[in-house]
Amino acid sequence: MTAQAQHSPSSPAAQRGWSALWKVEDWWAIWIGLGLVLAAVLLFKSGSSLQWLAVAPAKWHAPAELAAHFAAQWPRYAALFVLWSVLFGLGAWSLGLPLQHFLPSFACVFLVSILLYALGQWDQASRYSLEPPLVGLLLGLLVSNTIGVPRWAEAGFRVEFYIKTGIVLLGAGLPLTLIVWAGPTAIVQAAIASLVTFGVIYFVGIRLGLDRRLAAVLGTGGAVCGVSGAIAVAGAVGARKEHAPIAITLVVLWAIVMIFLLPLLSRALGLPTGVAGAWIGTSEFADAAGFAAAQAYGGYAGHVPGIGGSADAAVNAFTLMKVIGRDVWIGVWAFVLSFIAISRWDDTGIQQRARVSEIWHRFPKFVLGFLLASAAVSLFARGLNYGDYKKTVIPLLVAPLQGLRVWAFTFCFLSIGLTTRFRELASAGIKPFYAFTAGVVVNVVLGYLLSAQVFASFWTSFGQ
Amino acid sequence: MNPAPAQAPRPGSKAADGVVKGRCRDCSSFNASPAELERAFPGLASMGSGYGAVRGNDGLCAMHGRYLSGLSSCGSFSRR
Repeated sequence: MTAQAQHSPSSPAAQRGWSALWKVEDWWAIWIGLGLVLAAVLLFKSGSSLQWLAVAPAKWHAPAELAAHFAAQWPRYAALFVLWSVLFGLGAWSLGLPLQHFLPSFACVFLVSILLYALGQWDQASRYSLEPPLVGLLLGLLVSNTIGVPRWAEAGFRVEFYIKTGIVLLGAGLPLTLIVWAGPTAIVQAAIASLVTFGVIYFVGIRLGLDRRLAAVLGTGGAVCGVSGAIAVAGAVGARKEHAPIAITLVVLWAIVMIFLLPLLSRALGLPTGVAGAWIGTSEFADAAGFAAAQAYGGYAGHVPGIGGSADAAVNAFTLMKVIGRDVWIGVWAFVLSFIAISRWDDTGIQQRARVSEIWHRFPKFVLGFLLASAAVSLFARGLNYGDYKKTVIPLLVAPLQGLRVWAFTFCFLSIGLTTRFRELASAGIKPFYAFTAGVVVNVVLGYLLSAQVFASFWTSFGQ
Repeated sequence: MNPAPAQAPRPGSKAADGVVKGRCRDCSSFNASPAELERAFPGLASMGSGYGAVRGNDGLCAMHGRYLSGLSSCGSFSRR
């Protein structure tokens, strides 16, 4: 259960038209992300930088070093907390979440995130596999499934809000030319994996006697965009109300398994960061879960012998595969399946129409923010030579934005664990489990073959 | 010659009896509140969201026990 909405944006009409700009989470991720990009550019042009705000724990060996860092830098952490509280608080309030619940809850998320970030900066962290995304997830799962968290506190555990904002900020660190260059490969690879995975889940489900709508909801959850894909298609085909929770249970459980399994397998196989990121982007189900896995694997670069590529390559390759390759097609899947449901499947007694406009209405708008952030920084840096870009733009403009992105991701990873209560998930049933799991197995094997064999040289060079 | 097949009325348009039916989004059985959707779908908030764009204008219909588009309609429409 989630926190009660204070002023309800319950009317679906509220999500249509101009009011969607302040009633839908994706748009708030864009306003926050692009607002920070704009602020960073303006400060840079005036000879300043967001650097002071984008504080992060430095590498440390002894606890005394860490304590000295916090003693010296606490005003910057306080300012960072105020910045995030205002930005996310404004968004949460506009979405209808009660601020008196959101703010104290977010304060806890922020404080624990500082500790997670600091843990990741310990010089022995990689030796003990203490990757902040994985530690944050496990810590959240442990707390929510043992001692529990109060219901009101869930207002501050907005997984998708944090990850979407982080993705927009991530765009500022990815040159538009790189997205244009790598995008087509990501789309081709994702299309192959999505179509095959959907087909396997759907047809195994039908063979097992599942309702066609449930099979389609499961298939989209496994093949396209996890929980988001499942609910988008559930609404488009008019699924029974118990269908979406079944798909959500299976997506959440398998996504958590994959957060740990895919980096583990990639590490055992010695995959370069770019290849592993592409594999995770092909075979992980949810954006938030995939970023946790990709960021954890990126942390191995330079620390674990035999792992080639840059630290950022895993996250960048994952982003292209998942966001550009899979997420953006969610509206198309919903439109096509709604058309098939209306024209070929059994009558539900409800009059529905397949509307092409649904492709736009269901489009994950935060992707536009990601592309605009990339375009804005790329345009700004266009007139500069590479030396100036590396010497000034990266440390004073790009790096602070990426620092803020890491914070947003950390809030998200912790929130995944804090909102996942295994005993509250809907019972999936054995047949949906078999159908979904068949798709998982095929998807993981296919994802490996495409990333590490068919397109191996592409993703390896991408990570250099 | 076969008679022309009867066509289902477009959602929200006049039904066969001439009465204008509303769309689900205006029906008392329909609920699209993001907070209530996150309550009804356990796990939705842990790797998804009731507040995201992909939901479009979907909501839960208490009459038919379905999750569907707010632009749909049926003969049991009851304006809220």
